[in-house]
Amino acid sequence: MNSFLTADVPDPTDFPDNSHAPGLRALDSSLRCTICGELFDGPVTLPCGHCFCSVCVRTSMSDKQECPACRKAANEGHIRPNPVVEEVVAAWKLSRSYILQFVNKPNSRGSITATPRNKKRKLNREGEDLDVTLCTPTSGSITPDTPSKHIKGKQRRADKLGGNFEGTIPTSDADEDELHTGTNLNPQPDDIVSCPLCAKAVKYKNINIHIDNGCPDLPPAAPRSSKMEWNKLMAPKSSWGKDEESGSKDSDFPLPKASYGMLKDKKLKEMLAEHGLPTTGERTLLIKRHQQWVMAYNANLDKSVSMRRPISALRKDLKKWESDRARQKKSPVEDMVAHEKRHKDEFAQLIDLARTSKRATKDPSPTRSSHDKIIILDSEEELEMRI
Amino acid sequence: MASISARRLSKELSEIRSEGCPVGINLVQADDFATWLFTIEVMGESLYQGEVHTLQFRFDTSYPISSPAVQFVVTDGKQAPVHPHVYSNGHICASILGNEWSPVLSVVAVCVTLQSMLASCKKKERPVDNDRYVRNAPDNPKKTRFHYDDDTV
Ligand SMILES: [Zn+2]
Ligand SMILES: [Zn+2]
Ligand SMILES: [Zn+2]
Repeated sequence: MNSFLTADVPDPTDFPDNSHAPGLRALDSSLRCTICGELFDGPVTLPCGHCFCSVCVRTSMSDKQECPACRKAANEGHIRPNPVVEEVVAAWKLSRSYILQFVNKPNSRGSITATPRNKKRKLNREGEDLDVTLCTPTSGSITPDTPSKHIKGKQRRADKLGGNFEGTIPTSDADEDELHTGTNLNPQPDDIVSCPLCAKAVKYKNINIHIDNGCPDLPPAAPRSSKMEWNKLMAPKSSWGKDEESGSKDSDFPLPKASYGMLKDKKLKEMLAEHGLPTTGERTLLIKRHQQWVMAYNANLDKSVSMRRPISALRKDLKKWESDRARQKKSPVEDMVAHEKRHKDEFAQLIDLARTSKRATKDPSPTRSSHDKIIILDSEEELEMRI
Repeated sequence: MASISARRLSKELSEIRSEGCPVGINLVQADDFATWLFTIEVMGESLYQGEVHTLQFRFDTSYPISSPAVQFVVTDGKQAPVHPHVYSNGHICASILGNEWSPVLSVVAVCVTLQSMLASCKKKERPVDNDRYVRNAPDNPKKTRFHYDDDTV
């Protein structure tokens, strides 16, 4: 077991367990998609209430039309963006590495340093604020390199965190704004900062407008999402984009799924060219490419405008997906089919047997198994055909 | 950047290291993101008292959207447990590894399911078609479309 395997990937165990940092590991865990394990990227909710990254659940649904968590039937049409979770994740990404520095700082508390930590403190990809300096939570002393103008706020936070570890109730005047404004000394226009009045996450460049408008309930990105949601609810599915108001861009509307069986190669290539995608390769590849594009494109639309990736980045992702997929075909798990080829006849028999027994009634006894109903698949293509 | 499957597996590994495996399940090898080995034994009263079996997981880059290839190890003197859903070549007929797989399941979740499959066994016997299947079986159990007639597995 090599620890380098896990060294670089952030996960909830970066935080000490409940007895040392109550709730933090669970908090980090609850903001992660149960499919990919990452902090939600474009979170969406299904009618059952379960939440996933849009692209993860769309990929899963291309395999099986159900909620991966509870197996209730669900399809792409049920997917709804969850801008609230998206905001929470954005704020958590900002604060995550900052909080980690408190909880994993050596000497901050004996109990924490005593916790077995297999991993080194990691450079965190998910949070960017690594350049903050902190005081030691319990000592009350200030590290010498702490910028003096921030001493007060940091010290107060530190005391609160220290107090929490000892099981005391956080004081009601907990001022979340400090957490953000204290970490970012020189915010860039696109940085998310915490509004000093209402503590909502707002882009730095929008903060004045936000305050001038009396701290509206939702950040600038969200109203569009809910408008889209309404459109989805009010409009029949077949009329995507038809009744959009003038001025809103085509790019705000999801691409329809194509029925590829009906499409001529020429049309397929046109559809790819329309999105600036390559039209080379066999038909099956063209179809896969278009399917993957529709999925990634629509998943991107489930994010609020400010969080979306540019189309050029989506194209790059698709290119990488294709090359990964090509490599995958040669992986050892997939290519051991030679053996089966030699027994083709016997397999044909087995398959026949399986087909005939399908009509037979299901064996009602749970302890007796009739394993003669087996199909052995001898190529990836066949596997896909049968799905 | 590491692939989605490698990142997901890395997180599972972290959790195993940090929180340990459930009782009776132990990670014995995870040197890469291609093959992991676990030992599995049934705790308490069961037909498999005192038996320790080794489970092999093989992953490809479509994990966790598609299931891992899971089987009992039958080399180096190791044996597959005698069970109506376990072939003597180590292949397992369990719906959770086939059409009931979900990407929210994890390696540990599979171990626990297989552990309880053994724990609930009433009679130690091989599947009725064991010999014929083993003669023809592909190396990768994922190439086999088992017919699951037992809803409890
Ligand atoms: Zn995800
Ligand atoms: Zn659900
Ligand atoms: Zn405000």
